[in-house]
Parts: sequence; C-alpha cells; structure tokens
Amino acid sequence: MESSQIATVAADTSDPRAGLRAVASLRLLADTLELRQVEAALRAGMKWQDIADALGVSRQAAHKKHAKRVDPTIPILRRNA
Amino acid sequence: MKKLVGAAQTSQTLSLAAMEEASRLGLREADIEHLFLALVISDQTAGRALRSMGINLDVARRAVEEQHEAQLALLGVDASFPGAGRIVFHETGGYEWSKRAYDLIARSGGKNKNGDAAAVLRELVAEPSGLITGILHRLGTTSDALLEGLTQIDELDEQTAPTAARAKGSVSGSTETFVPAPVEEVWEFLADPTHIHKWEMSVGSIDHSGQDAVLGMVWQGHAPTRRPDGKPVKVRPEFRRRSVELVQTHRPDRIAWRFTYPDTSRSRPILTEFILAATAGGTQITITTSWFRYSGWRRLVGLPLRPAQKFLVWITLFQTGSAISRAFR
Repeated sequence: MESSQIATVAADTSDPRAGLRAVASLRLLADTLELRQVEAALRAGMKWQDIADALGVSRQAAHKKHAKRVDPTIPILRRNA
Repeated sequence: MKKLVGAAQTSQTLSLAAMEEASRLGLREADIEHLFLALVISDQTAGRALRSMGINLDVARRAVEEQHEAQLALLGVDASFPGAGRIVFHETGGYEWSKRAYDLIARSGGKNKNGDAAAVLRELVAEPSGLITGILHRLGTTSDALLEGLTQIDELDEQTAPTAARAKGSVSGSTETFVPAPVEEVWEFLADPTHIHKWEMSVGSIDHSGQDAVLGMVWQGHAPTRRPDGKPVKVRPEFRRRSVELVQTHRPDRIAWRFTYPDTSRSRPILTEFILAATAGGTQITITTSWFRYSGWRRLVGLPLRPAQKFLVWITLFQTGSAISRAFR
C-alpha cells in the first residue's frame, strides 16, 4: 500500500464503530510487540532503566508491567535492575 | 454447592485453555477471542456444539487472526501479527484475564445461569464489541445459529460418559477432557512410555530401551529435577524413583498405567486409567485415578482431610488432562 493510500484509509472515520474495534486490534499488536522487544532487550543485557527510557515510561512502570511476564529463563541483572 | 463447584471447574478449565492460547501468541492477557478458542476445545456441550458446526481449533485460530488483521487493514495499518509459537503458559508467568473477559465469565455464573461452558458461550456471543460476531461471520455462522446448535446438543446430551470400574475400598476421582486429535493418535500417545513425563507431573524422565509397550511391562521413572519454568525442584530421596507399569491396554479405547514409589513402603500404588471415545472434532478422554485407602488408624486420621483430598485429586486429574490436550495443540 502506498503511503498516501495509508493516510486516506487511516483518516477514514465513516464507520467509527469498526474503527474503534480496529484500534483495539492495534493495541493488541502493540502489546504483543512490546513484550517481544522487552524480552529481546533483556536478552541483550539491557537494564530495566534503559528499557524504560526507550519506552518513555518510568523504570518502576516498566518493571511492574513486564517483570513477571518475561521469559523466566532470561538471566536478568539484579543490581540496579 | 454443585453449581458452585461446576462453575469453578469450568472457569478453571477455560482460563487455562484461553491463557495457553494467549501464550502461543506472545500475550500475557487473555481476552474474549482466547476465551472463544478455549470454548472450541471444551469437553462440555459448548465445545461439541461449536465443533459439530465445523469450527475446530485450527479454523477458529485462523478466523481470530484474520479478524484482527482485517481490522488493522481497516485502519490503514499494513502490518501482521508475529507468527504464533508453541504454548508456553506453563513455562512463563504474569497471566491474567482482560477485564471484559473476567466480567463475562463472572456473569455466566450469575443468577439463573449455571456457570457451565454453555452459559459462558451464551454470554460470549452477546458481547457488545462486535469482535466475536465478526469472528463468527468469518466462520460462516451467526450467534443465533450457534445458540440454536447449542440448544439442540444440550437436549441430546442425555448420554452418560463411560466410567472405570471402582474397586471396594479405593479412592478415585474422574475427569473429562477433550483432545483435538483422532482417537487412534491419542491412544498411541498415551500408550507410549516415553511420553509419560508429558502428562504425569511426578515423572520427569523414563528409562527406556526402545522396546514396545506390552502388558505387565515395568519402566523406571525419575522425578523431575526442574519445574517447567526452569526453577529447581526438591524431592525427598525415597520419592525420586518411580515405577510405571502398563496394566491395561485395549487399542484404541482403553489404557491404564500403575505408578508406585519403589523406595518407600509408605505410599500406595496409584492407577491412572484412560477411556477414549471419538467425539466431534477429536477425542473425549475420561481419566480416572484411584488407589486403595489405608486401613486402621491411618484411615481415621485421614477422614477430616477428605475434602482436601478430593480437591487434590481433581487438580491432579485436571493437570493430566490439560497436559495431554496441550501435546496436541
């Protein structure tokens, strides 16, 4: 799809009910990708602070959301984690 | 009380299946579409109704995926979800229900509703977002057609499931589980001693020299040293070895294994029996576990613990059943 086409469709608000449902799917995609990226970051040795900075949230928020969810076999640096 | 226990067991079974589905998509929150997939593989009438309409797990998974991708396309987002992997629920943590799915299950056990999988399905097809309606549309059906199919199956459901014969003085528990695979395939899986560690939690590995399983043959098993999530498990020395004997085999509908701890005299042999029957879209397994009660003073000491024991038996059976089902998903 051409970028101009994307803009046209994305700007289409003629069916807001379908549009809103679609936003929920987009959020689901974002959640899926976020966990994958956080796991990849931890595997690469990044600290929670670095992950939080990149996500644009506080370290506490990033840790609270993901600490229990990530693959438990990833060795996580405890110090200053 | 019976309704309460039934509703609790239904919600436990559906929660596990839905979260397993979410886990293979890289998600930790199960939502209504995962609940729908859990209903497709339910051993109750709701699952049979869906599958008898041709909605099996593969078809349903594809419809859910296509629905989300079509919705993304509607926004003009040209992206696809990462490919689904295997189920990692038992190896990972942090799972929860989405608020709407949680509320929906709670409503299905409300006043004048019996909290079974059919009640959950009735609530699900009436959910207001339109996501489930969209998925059903992709599957070539509608909420009304589904509810009609469900009512018909409910009316037909007079048959009673086969149960294993119960010996006098024994304790036993029984559960039903659905496996999305043909009877013959499931029997092969259950009759293979090298697969025992996949469904019996107390066995981590089996010494196997490659011989065919014949009646009366005994294998040595070893307790698992690590949990599925990688954490080490402490097991007392006398419970580390486990003998496994094939005590009943009748292709393709019956098989039974007896488990004993050869290093202790304090434990009783446990019999795990499987009865397989073909059902819409796969196999219905009745799993029965039984052992002989202690006699004398030990029996009296055990009396107040009976309800706890009953619960424990159910949990064990539930784990076995879901592990077998998982092996085919």
